[in-house]
Amino acid sequence: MIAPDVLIVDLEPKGFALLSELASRRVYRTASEIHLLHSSGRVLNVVHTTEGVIERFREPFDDPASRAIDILGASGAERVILIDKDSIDELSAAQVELARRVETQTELLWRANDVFFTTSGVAVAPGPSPSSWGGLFERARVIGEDYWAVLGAWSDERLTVSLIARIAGGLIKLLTSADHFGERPDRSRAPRLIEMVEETGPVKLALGCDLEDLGRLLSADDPLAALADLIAGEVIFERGVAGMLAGGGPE
Amino acid sequence: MAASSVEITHRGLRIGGEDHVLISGEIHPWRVDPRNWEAALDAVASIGASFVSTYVPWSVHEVERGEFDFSGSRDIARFLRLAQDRGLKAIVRPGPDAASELPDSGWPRRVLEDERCWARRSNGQPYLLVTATAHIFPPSYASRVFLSEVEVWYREFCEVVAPMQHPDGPVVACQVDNEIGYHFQPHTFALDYHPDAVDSYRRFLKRNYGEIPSLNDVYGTDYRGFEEIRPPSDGIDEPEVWRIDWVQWREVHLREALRTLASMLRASGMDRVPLIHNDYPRMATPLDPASIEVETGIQLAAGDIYTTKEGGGWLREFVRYVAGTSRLPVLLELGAGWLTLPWLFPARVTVSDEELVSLRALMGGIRGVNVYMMVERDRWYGSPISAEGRPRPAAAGLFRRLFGFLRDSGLTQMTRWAPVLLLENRNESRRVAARETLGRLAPAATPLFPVDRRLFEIPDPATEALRRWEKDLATVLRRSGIDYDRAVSTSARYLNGYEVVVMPCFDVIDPDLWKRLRSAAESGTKVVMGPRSPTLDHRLRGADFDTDGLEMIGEPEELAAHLPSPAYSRSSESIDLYLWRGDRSEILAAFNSSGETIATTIDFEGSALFEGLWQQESLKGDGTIKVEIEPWGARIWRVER
Repeated sequence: MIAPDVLIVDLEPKGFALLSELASRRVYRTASEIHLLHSSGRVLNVVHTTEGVIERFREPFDDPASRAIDILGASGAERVILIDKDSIDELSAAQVELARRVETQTELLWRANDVFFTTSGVAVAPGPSPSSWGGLFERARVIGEDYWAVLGAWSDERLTVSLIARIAGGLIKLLTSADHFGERPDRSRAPRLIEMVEETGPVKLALGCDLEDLGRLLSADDPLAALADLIAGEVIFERGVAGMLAGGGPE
Repeated sequence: MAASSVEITHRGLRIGGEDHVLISGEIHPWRVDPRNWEAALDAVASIGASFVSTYVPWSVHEVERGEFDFSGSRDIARFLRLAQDRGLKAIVRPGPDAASELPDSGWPRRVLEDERCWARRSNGQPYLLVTATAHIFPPSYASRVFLSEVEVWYREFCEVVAPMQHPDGPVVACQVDNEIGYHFQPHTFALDYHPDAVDSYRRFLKRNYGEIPSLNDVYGTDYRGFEEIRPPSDGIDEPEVWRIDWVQWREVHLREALRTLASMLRASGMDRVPLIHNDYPRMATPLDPASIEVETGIQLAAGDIYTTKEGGGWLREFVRYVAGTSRLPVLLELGAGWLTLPWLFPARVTVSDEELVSLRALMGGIRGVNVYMMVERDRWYGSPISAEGRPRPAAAGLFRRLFGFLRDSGLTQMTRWAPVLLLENRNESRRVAARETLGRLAPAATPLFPVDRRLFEIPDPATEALRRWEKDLATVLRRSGIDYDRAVSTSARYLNGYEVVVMPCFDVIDPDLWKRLRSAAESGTKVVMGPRSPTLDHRLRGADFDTDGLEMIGEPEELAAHLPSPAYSRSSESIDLYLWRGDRSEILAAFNSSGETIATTIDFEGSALFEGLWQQESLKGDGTIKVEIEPWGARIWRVER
């Protein structure tokens, strides 16, 4: 949902670095998975994501789906993925087709995962959770044609992270932070963050929370479920997020 | 080439007979309000840079097919004149690849949408490149259509910029393309299977084998002509030599492409300054910087570095590679600040990272830098100078100090003591690259597809053995406290410049390389190899290799017995020492390569005074000094005996 011509203006360096660090904890988390490459059931290579190449699970098989389940049970891994080398052309073609269809890099990266898990040459156990991000992008579109989204995180009284996005046609066109609007309100004046952005256009999505809560949210296995839990609990402010998660328009 | 008043030396650029250390800052004028150009250039000069570098992106200047705009924020000539007014020399980088977080990487959209230009996978599908904020089907550098488009762009670029070459203007170097190398995708079987690339591959085979029966003899095939040969597409294709030839062609093709681009620039008028190129930081096939400098008409092939201080171990080795392979070991992109791509690269570069990375690069053998980005712009944050041209105190202060150190310390007139050359055995590492698989999915690794990278390689004991030797030989060198350079075996040019040359050696070697190694040994260089002498030539044909004069070792640890003694040794292996020697004094640097504070002694003969060059410190020792270095930290001293 990030536009190819996104502008990034006055992004506060320290807050952005902190946000990146929180996000990277999830991106670079190494799950315990087994990835097996085969050619119509003849095993070519088996890699355990934390142990490296392993010699186990190399017996030939007929049914990839049931073999994935067997290996899952026998290995204790969190996930088992079997890739049939004879089918990679289908996957490669699907990737190209996807690239032609979607507009943004973010959407490509996200949907490529769906393409991967739905290709006939890939067997996986357990199956991936249904992807909710794609739906989220759609909802970002229906919320409004041109609006602001505001994220703020406070550490004690101090506004530590602020990320403010201008969204038009469902795409992030501008990324900035509180500095751009001239002020970093402390926690006691947190709603001011929304007010000052609102002076330049409607704010239809907003979330203000503790930095610790934001860290937990970003490293969660299912960030959307974690977000729903967060706003159901105690947040500093929230606008439009619950409605978006529920699939509706602006509240 | 017309007479040039600019030449590349081992220490810098000689311009009009005067030597200049490359101290440069990157600024992208089209991304900065033209009203701020003067302030930004003043700030660059005030920090102490004497060069500025900029891309001149094709996609920015070609506003419609065949229509080029060099006015307003695209007025590169005005920008260069302003630089010249401030005494700054300029490096221009017209691509065609101008990456720099541009959605189109600098290629015009119409070119990217032309199927005749697309780089191809082995199944004919276009290769997909995920760029900064978009995704594209990037061009094949073999595509004749693409190259003819580039030629038009180069002519337009040169019409404006060539008249500004030194001595008529500030331009002292022109960079050909950016980080060429299959669009950052080194996988052997990922690309490029464009029909024009396949033609080039067949011509390569014909050059190497002469007649088709010679190839059939080696391949065990019965082709009637080279035009029947198709490229291999996977690490299981047999015979192995077929795949090895493909790996080698991929190296050669990059140089052919660079040579073509360099010729176009020369023909268009960029003929009075050196041409240069920057490789992305990779020490393996298909890259080979030394060969670029020999074969392409490009005078300098150097490297780029983006890392944090925690990347010190990797940085240490890459710097050694640049020092051992480039005519002038410089970093044409030394990261300062960070790119704003949280969805790809969560970045945490701080001023402290910039300090320690820069110092390690300079003390490790780098003789000049282009700070990228010196001036901030869209999609890049935390640069030493803001887009309005205001120096940021911490970062600008650091680089002002670094540049002063580079100018005033005498380092550039000294020679780094690196008595050992560690060679990558390119004949064997090509065999490793030829064992890759799933090329049609690469880059399938996250984030496009959730597949472990190790699945893209067919396991083989020979791969493991080579990697173990490569790693263990480097470990022996580090433990011994010996500084060393790295180079690629097949293109290493200065074997006799080292006391010891060391290389892992298994089954295969190019006979010409073997001859050069033996010749170096006969000239007095100690050539150490192991674990066994080869029995096959580079075409995998049986061959005899005489090991007379060579030191063969059975285990990497045996290398230690062949190494010279360092003048300074340390008690902790976590500390890396770098020694630079001049006519009258020495500079010694100690870097902590760990995340813990390390206390170490530094031992030497006699008594010496250690005056801190970077830190406030004065130590006197008789045979030894004791120091404590913070995690990833550095100490640099001038040593007076």
